[in-house]
Amino acid sequence: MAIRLDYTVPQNKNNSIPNPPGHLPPTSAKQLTAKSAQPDPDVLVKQNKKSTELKLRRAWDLALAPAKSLPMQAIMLYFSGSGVQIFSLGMIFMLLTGPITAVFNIFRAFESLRPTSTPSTPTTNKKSSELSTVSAEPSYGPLALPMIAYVACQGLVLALGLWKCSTMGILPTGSGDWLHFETRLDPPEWSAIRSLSMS
Amino acid sequence: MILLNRGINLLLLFILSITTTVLSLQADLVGIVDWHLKLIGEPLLEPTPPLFIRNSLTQTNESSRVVTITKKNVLAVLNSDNGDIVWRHQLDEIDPVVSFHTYEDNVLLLSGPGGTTARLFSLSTGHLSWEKSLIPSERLSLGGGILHTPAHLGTDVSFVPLKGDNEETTRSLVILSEGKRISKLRLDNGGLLWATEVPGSGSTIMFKQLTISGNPIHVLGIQNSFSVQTLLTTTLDLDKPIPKSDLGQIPSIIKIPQQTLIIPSGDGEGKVVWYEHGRIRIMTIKENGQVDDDKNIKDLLPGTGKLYESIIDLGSDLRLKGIILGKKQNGGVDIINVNKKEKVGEFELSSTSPERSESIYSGIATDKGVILNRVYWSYNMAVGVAQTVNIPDVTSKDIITSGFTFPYDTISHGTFLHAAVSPTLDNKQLPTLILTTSSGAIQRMELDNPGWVREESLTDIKVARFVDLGEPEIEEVREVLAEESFVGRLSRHLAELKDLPAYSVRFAKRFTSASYTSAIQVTPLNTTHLHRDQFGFQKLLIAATVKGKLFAIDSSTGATVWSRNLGLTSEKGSELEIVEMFNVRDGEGGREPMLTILATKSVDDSVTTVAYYLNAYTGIISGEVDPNNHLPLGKTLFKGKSQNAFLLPFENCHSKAKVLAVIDSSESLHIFPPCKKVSAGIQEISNKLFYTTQTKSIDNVILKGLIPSAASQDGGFKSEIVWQIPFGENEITIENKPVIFDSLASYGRVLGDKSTLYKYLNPHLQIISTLTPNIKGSSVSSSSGIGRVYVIDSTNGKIIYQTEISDEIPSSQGLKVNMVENWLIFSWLDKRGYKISSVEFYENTLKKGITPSQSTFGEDVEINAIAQTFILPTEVKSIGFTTSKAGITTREVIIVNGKNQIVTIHRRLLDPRRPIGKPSSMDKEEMLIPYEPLIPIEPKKVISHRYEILGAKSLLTSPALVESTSLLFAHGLDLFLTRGITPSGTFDILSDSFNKAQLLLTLGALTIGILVAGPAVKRKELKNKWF
Repeated sequence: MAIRLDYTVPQNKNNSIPNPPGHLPPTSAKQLTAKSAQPDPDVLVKQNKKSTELKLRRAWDLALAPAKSLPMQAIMLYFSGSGVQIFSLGMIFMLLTGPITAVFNIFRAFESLRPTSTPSTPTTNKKSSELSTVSAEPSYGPLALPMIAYVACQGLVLALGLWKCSTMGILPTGSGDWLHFETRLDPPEWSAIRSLSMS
Repeated sequence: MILLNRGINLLLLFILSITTTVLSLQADLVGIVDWHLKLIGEPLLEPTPPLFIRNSLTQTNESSRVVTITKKNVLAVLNSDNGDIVWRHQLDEIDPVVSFHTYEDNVLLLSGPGGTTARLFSLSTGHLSWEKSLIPSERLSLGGGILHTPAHLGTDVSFVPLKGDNEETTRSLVILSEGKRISKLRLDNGGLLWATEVPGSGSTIMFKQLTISGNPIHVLGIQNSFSVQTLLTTTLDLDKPIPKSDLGQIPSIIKIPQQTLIIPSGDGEGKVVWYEHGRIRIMTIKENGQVDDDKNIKDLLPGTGKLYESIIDLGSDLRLKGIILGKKQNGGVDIINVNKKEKVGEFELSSTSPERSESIYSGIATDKGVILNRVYWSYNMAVGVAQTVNIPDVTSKDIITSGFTFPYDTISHGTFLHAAVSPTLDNKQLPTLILTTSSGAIQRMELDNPGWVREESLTDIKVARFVDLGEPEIEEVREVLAEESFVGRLSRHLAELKDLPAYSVRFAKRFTSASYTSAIQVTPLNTTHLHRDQFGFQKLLIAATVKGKLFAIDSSTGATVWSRNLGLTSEKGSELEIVEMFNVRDGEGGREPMLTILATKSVDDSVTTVAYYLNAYTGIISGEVDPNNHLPLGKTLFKGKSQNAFLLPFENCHSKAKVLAVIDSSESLHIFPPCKKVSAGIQEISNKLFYTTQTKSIDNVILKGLIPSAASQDGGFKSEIVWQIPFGENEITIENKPVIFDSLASYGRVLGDKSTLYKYLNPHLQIISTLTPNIKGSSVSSSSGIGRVYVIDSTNGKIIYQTEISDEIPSSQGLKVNMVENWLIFSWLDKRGYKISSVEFYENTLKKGITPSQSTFGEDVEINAIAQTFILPTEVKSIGFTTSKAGITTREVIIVNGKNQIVTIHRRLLDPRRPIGKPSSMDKEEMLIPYEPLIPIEPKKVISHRYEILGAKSLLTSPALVESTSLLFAHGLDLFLTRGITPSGTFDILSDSFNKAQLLLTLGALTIGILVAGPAVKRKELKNKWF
């Protein structure tokens, strides 16, 4: 049983300032039970909608955050130079590993932003609606687009890192990078010169 | 990969920057990583054999000296007590030594064709006092003097004796050169007092000897007529070059010019002595140059009915005393005093007998008299016998004879060719002898005391091979594990437990204190201890001399482990001539390494090709031995000389040694050892087996490519010609080398954009450098010509690469070539200086490289040859390459420069892809150095450091077990071996400055710290949980 702290402030009675999202007006425990016993579905729906919108907006913010930091990172990369040094290597390491870990942890990142599914229509059947709101699991469904955007943006960061790698010449793209793994058969012919040259 | 490469590069740069001294040879490693054996070569016995000089003349030192000139063009002075070289000088090849003449503390050396250069050295110090060309200045531009055969004919030197009453006259000497020119020089500075060409001398008259008798100089000459040679003389005045009279004719018939001599009689007269029809005749020349009447021709020893066979001339010092030897027809030798016209004595038992070998006579002048010596080999007693006749005063009749026998190893040294006798005798009236043997050794010999031996045949190493040794004794795996039972292994391990303390001590030592210097302080090898050191620096070097003597040399100390004579040597030379030597079996798994030696044996005009099997550890030749002289017989392969020899890709069924193929003069292929399985194998791969021969026709040289055809009798194969390359008219082959293809680390070269230039790799390449002289018929030494380099694929006969040097090159300098993998280096001298060219062959393809796995008969590989030429500040006498175990270490070019130093040139300096002008970013990425025409010789890269390695012509390299290091053996005259070549630094060996103890202490301290702090921390953590 979680302890709920009551920071009830007696002042500020006038409601000119809107409450923060998800704010429940300070009520006593008694009121609370009374309210919960009599929930106003409209308010609930409204509240839910509001919070969903808010969550979506935040999800988009989160999704686009890597892209926003791209110019900054690009500038930093530009200043770190193309030499193979500990700083530029560290930065590249961050650029390469960051997006990958971010993508792997994408569900955790969006976990708090999952909207609870809103009842489609305020039905008269209060009981059922009440049941549905209670049982409605928060889903990732509405977050699909932001998540895709998020992956794409992380992809951009990765691409930036890879581009930097390639400008530094540490991407094994040329044939020269694989030269040491090449093998050849022995020459098929035998000659006097060959026997001398091997000795 | 690039990252890795770059990482390594950075690391290397870093290491280089902090340890630049490691790259260059450290002073304290001199003599530890290398050894240098100074040699002089086999002594020249004509006309001036080795001469013993008594110690009173060499004031600086107590010991006596031996002066000699050698076949390697060296004038050397040895310490007669220990055989060390006191000093030596080697002359250029175009300036061959002719004779030396000693006078007090001076040694006069006559050299050059016709004896046209005179040099005076100080005997005690070896410093050159002066050098003088005896060719008149107007003829200098035409080149050298006239060469006679033998080279010393027509040359003579005589020192003008001091006149007691007239000390102010400058001391001088008179030299006869080219058979006609007489020059009088000052002794102190070589200044020319006068010179003249004897009037009347021409194509038919040649003067051969001169003598100073008081004031007149009598010169003896030989006149060639249609069928006979007659003697004539001329006489000059010592003060002015004017003949005193006409040429004096002596009625005589001369068969051998050497059998004539002129002897001063002290009172202004000269006596001509010659051999004619079994008689020794004499004729007097008067002071004014007049020849006595014809009637006065006399037999030197008239009456007595003695018939002589020859005159034995024992040198000018004895001639001055009037002493010669006369050899009678029965072989007996008389001592004759010409001035007194009488026989002074004779050598006892000197007549020819089957009991003893031919005698060798020698003599030396003492203050008033002479000491004569005779040595021979007694077959009966199997000892050497020396017989000495001491004539204390030539004017008296007293002679003292003495003799001694000495032990002598005929099997290893052959027969003796000369015995220089000491000018002083010991209290038993016995001399010290310096023997020159037919095997090329110089040995000091005394009664009961065989002295030092100098193996001068090492100057004529025909072929040398490194043999890898087994593992260090204690770590050696002696058994083949797979065939061992459990009990057997257990008992072996228990038995080997006794080695455990030694092993642990060794391990601890190696772990704590091993450094570069300590690792190379190795135990010297001997016949019982033949194990390598931990880095593989210690190997056995097997060297075969031209005359067939084998030496096994410890590569780390230069000491001879064993030596063996393969063939008989005598005064006529050696019956054996080594052609090649091959490593046919390595020492893996505890077996003994084997080598095959191929030699040409000439006995009584019959020439055969013989092969031997040699055990490298013991020097034992397998097979039968000659019952008489205990020399190995070997296996006779065929009659005549061989044209080519190479190893086949087959092993002998029994010995597991590689099989040798030898091509005889009729181009048939013979195998050694013969084996049916191998014959069948050859038949199977006969269309894939290629070899070449070089034949000389009237016009030009033809290079033929051959394959074996159907089997003929006795296991041999006839050959079929597949291709022929005729060279141009008069084109002379200078060098003919196979490409070096030992360890290949990479198939290509990575460029700045990470694409690859694939190397053109072909193990069948033969590199030939040729010279086409410009002027027909002129002497080779002075002409110049056009130099060409060919790279030929020896399987299909295609000329892969061909180039012509744009400038004419002098033929004396030649054109040196060598090639490793795809990198060809050649060097030459042109009008403007020494040049070196570097060429790399790449496959001209954008796809993957295909060489060397593709057949040379497959689709044509387009070749991209990148070439660049550089200027070198020095002559190049020989080109070699460093090598390494895996080929990862940079290859460097090793050259022998004009100062007789061995120098390496860095690979990056000789890179033909060095960019001209400003390097692009790609070039920078590749770390290419911008092109500069001059390649400097870095003092740090002189790996022979302070040693002067005279005459080094052949370079032999071998990898050590550590990748960074390669061994180099240079031979020619001196022997030099170093394991200090580390082209990429000693990256796999910690340098001496590395503080191993500190590292170990730090590690130990940290371990103790962890052991102490660990439990404490755990306790604290546990305690913390309570609060």
